[in-house]
Amino acid sequence: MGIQTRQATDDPAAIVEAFRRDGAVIVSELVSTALMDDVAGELRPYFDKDGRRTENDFNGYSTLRISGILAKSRSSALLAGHPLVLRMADEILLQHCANYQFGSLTGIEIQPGENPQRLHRDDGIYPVRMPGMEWQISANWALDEFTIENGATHVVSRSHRRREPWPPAAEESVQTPMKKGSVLFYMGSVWHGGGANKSNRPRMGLVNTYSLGWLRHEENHYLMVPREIAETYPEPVRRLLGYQSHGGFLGWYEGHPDEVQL
Amino acid sequence: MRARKFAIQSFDVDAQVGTDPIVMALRRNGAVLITNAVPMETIDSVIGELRPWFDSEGKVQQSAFNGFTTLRLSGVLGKSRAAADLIAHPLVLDIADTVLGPHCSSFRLGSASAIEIWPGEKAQVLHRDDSIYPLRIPGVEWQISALWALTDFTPENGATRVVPGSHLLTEADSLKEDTTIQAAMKKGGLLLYLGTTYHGGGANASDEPRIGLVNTYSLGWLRVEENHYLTVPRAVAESYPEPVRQLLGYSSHAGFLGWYPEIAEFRN
Repeated sequence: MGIQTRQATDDPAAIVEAFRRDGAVIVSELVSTALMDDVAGELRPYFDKDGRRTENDFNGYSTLRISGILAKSRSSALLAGHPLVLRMADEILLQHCANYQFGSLTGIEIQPGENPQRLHRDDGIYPVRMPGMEWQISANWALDEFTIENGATHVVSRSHRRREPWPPAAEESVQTPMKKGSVLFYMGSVWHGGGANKSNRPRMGLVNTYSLGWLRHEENHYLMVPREIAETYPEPVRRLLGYQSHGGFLGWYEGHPDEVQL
Repeated sequence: MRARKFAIQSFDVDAQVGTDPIVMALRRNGAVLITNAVPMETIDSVIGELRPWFDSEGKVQQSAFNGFTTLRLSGVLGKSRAAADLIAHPLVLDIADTVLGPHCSSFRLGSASAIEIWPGEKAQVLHRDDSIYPLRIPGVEWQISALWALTDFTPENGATRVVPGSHLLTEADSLKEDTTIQAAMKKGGLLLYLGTTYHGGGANASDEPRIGLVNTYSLGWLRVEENHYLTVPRAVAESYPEPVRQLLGYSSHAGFLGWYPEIAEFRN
């Protein structure tokens, strides 16, 4: 079992179907390489300055990571709020919530020599799992070409259906190479992990997660993207950053955009 | 289920019974009363600090659900420092930890709302506070509420209506209005109820307003009802002691969820 690579011109419904079945799907060259260059250029100084702050056994010691992306790169909003991404999130998440939000936005640059990351499920940050219910999905954008050599993400196809609490064997995963400008989607319950970088160049990705609007955000956007910056983005992005309520009451603040009268 | 009789038991902190009997009564009936948990000066300080805010912005949240003759304030910890002594009261936190702890690594303040019900206000519709979350798992509480009486709560002035035992109802239409009792209590009294317990503000048929402070505590992996990051300025939040800061969300759930660079828990 593998992971399908679909074209940006394919019927979105067919892409959603592949996503549901395999738990992951690639959409090839969804955006231009020029946009990826813009994002990479905006993020570069932050990778160099802050990229090592979250190194640890899980994140790796030859991998740069940065958060608070929308305070660092305005072009990233075109990826984080991309219409096809939101379509996928609508299909998977809106069965279980009134609206969804960004879980986290993370720039990840895997340097040459990095080891493979251990397989994990992103939704392990929530202590409840209900079979058939996804708490979040992830969209992993290739800011460089992702190859077998440079650490293309390992994914265990259809592992969102696994009920065993232990991880699959590493050999059960497949790598998901994709061209620059492509995006890999995977469910929050799909086992996956970053690949080893055996090339001589870094590979950069931007991993954005979308979670049910009644759950806590993985990344604390309120503290990492100043409100005055958040509010300069278009409505859909502002909402994804948490400037909305769930159902009119949850996440309430004065001026939230979802006033309801019972 | 066999028919059971439910009541709201009352415990005096001065009797030093400890947390367990209180939690037992709370679990059994869905609500419990506690007296003498704080000195009266604390209550007076909270009222004094909140008074100008009630007067200046108490009407902002008026609605059919909240009422049109009721003043409400959010962002309470940005308005009253004394309120922290109620919000982070050790007995309340201990009870919250006992009820919520099995289902999360840490809990947070869901909301802190000061509510002043004016003469002439109608009774609020009975509701479950946890219905802000679209999922319910029998036997799992998503939140509990602590309602402090800042004035006497009497049957006349709108003492909260509670349906004891209603936390056990699994069919929404099985609620019977006539099983409601009013939780009368003296100024300084504390009513605790589960997120699944049906309750509602009472009608105020007296000629005096009645004031309460309702604080909820919810599982740390859920979104919080009140967006404290936006209702309490960060500088104010961080001026409080650690337990209060944590309750306001300046912490993470188990190291990763709710992450930001300065959290103390970031680790391997």
